[in-house]
Amino acid sequence: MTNLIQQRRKLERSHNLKLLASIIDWTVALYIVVPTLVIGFFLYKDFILTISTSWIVHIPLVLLIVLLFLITRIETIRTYLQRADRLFLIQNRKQMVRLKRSGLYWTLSKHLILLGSVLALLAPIFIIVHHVTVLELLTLLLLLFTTNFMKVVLQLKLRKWQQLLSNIFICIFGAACFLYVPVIITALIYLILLIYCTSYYNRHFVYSTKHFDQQVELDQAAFYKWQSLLFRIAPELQSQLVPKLKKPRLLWKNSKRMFRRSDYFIEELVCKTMLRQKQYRLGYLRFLSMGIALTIIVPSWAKIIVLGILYFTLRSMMQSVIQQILEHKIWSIFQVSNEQIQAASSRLLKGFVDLPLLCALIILVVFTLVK
Amino acid sequence: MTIDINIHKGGYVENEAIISNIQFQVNSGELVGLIGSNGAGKSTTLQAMMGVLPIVDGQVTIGTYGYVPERPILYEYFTLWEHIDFYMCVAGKENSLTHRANELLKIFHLDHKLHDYPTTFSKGMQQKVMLILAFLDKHSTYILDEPFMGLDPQAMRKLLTILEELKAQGAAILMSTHALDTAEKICDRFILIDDGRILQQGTLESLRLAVKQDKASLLDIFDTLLEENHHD
Repeated sequence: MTNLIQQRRKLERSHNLKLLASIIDWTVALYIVVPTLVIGFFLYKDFILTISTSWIVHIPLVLLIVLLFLITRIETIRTYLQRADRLFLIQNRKQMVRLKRSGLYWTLSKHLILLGSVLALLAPIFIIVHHVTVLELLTLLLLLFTTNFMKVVLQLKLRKWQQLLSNIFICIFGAACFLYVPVIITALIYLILLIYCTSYYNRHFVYSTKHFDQQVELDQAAFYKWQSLLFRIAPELQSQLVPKLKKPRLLWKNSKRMFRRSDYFIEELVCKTMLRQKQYRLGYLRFLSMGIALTIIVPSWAKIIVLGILYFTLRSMMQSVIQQILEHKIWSIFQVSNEQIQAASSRLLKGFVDLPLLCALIILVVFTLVK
Repeated sequence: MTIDINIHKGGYVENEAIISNIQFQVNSGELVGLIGSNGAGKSTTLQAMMGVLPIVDGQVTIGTYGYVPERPILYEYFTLWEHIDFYMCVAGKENSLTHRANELLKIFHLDHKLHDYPTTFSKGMQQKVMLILAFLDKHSTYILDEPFMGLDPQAMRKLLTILEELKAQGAAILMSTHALDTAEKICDRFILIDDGRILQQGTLESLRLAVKQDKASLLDIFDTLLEENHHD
C-alpha cells in the first residue's frame, strides 16, 4: 500500500513539475527566486535588528494570536483517492483504510512542519517583544495545530454557516486558553482534543466509505491546487467561469450603467466583470492591499522597490485580465476597432493601476513627512 | 448583389483545406439556405465569410451583417439588458435602437428577464437572445447559423415572420440549417454542400431537374446528391 500512496504522490509531483516547467524556465526562476530570497533575507534581518523600535511593538499579543488562529488552516486532509477507486479499491477495505490513513499522517506532518516554520520566523516577535517563553511558544504550536485539524474535520461535517460560527468559537476559545489558562492545562486540553479528533476522523472518514464522493472531490481539488492557482494568476489559461447567481446582487444591479458616457462601453464591460467575477475581484484587491501593507511595514529603503514591484505586477495582472476579456468569443458578435480597444485598455490601466498606486504614494509621502 | 463569395481554399491549418471551390452569391431580398450534413463545411464557410477563418484563399464581398452563431455566445458577466445596451453603444445608436430592442424583447417573451444573466437561461432562451442581438440593427446582410436550434414553435413562427419582413425590406439572408422542411418552404434558393464542396445550388425546381425527380423534397434531393457524390 505504501507503494500506492507513493505512486500517487509521485504522479502528483510529476504533474506539478510539468506544469511548472510549462510556464517558467530556470532563468526566469533564477531571476525571481534569487532576488526574492536575498531581499527577503535582508528585510527579515533588518526587521529583527530593529524589532524593539518597529511598528510591531504596538500590536497587542492578543491580536497576533487571534490573527494566527484566523489565517492558519489545513486546506484538505489528503486521501489520495481517485474516482476510479469506487470500482476496485473500495472493495478492498484494508488497502483503502491504509491509503486514507497514510494521507492523514502525511497531511498532518506537513502542516506541523509548516506551522513550526512560521512560528520559528515569528519567534523574535513573541520572545523579544511579548516575552513569551519557548514552552509557551510550543504550546501555541500545539494549539494552532489542533485547532486547524479540528476546523478541517468540522468542515467535512458542517454546513457553511455552521462552519463559520464554529471557526469563530474555536479561534476565540484557543486564544483565550493561550492567554489566560496555565500552559500545562492548555497543553493537556489540546492534547486530548487532538487525540479525540484523530480517532473521530479515523472512525468516520478512514474506516467508513460514506463520505467517499466528498473525499474524492476534495482530494481532486487539492491535486489540481497549483493548476487552479496558476489559472488565477494567469487567467488567460482558462475560460471564464460562469457565475452561479441568476442575476447580479451587488451594485449596478438592474443593468444600470457604471459610466454615463456611452463610448466607455469596453470600460463598462471590464469594470462590471471585475466586480462580478469573484476571482478577478479578490485577486486584484489581494494584490493591492498586500502590496500597500508591505510598503507600509518595510524599511524606507525597500519602500520604493516594493512599490515598483507592485506597479509592474499589478499592471501585468490587469493587462492579463483585460486580454482575457478581449479574447472572449462575444467579440465575434460585437465588432469593435483596435483603436477603441487600445484607448479603453489605457484608461483601464490608469484607473486600476496608476491611480491607486499614486494615491498610495501620496499617502506614504505625507505620512513620512508628518512622522 | 449583397454577398459574393469566391473561395478557392479555406481551413484552420496551412495545406489542410476544409472547404474548397465555394462560389455563390446572395442577392438583395433573397433568402438562401446553406444545407449540408454535420461536418460538411457549412460553419467553416460562414466563418470564412466573416473573416475569422485562419486560412482563406479567395475573395469575400459582404457588407455589415447581423449574425446568429451556431451556438449562443453570451458574456458571463452581463445581464440580458447589458448585452443589448452594449450592442447599442458599440453601434453608436443608443437612442434609435431602444424601441426596436423593447419590441424584440416582447416578441420573444424575454422582457421579464432583462436583469438576469442569460448564461443561466435555457438553450432556447439563449438562442432568442442571439436572435434579438442579430435583428436589433438594420443590416444589408444576415448570416444565420442554425437559427431554429432550440426554439419553441411560437418563437419559430415569429422568427419566420421576421425573416419575411427583412426579405421584403431588401436584406440578403444566408441561413445554414438542418431543418430542411422549414428551409424548403421559406428559402428562395439552396446551396447544398458536402465534404467542403458545393454539390449543387439553385432553386428547388432547378435542383429537382438536376436529380431528375419531379416531386422530390429537399431532403430527397440532398440524399440523392450525397449518394451520387459518395459513389463518385
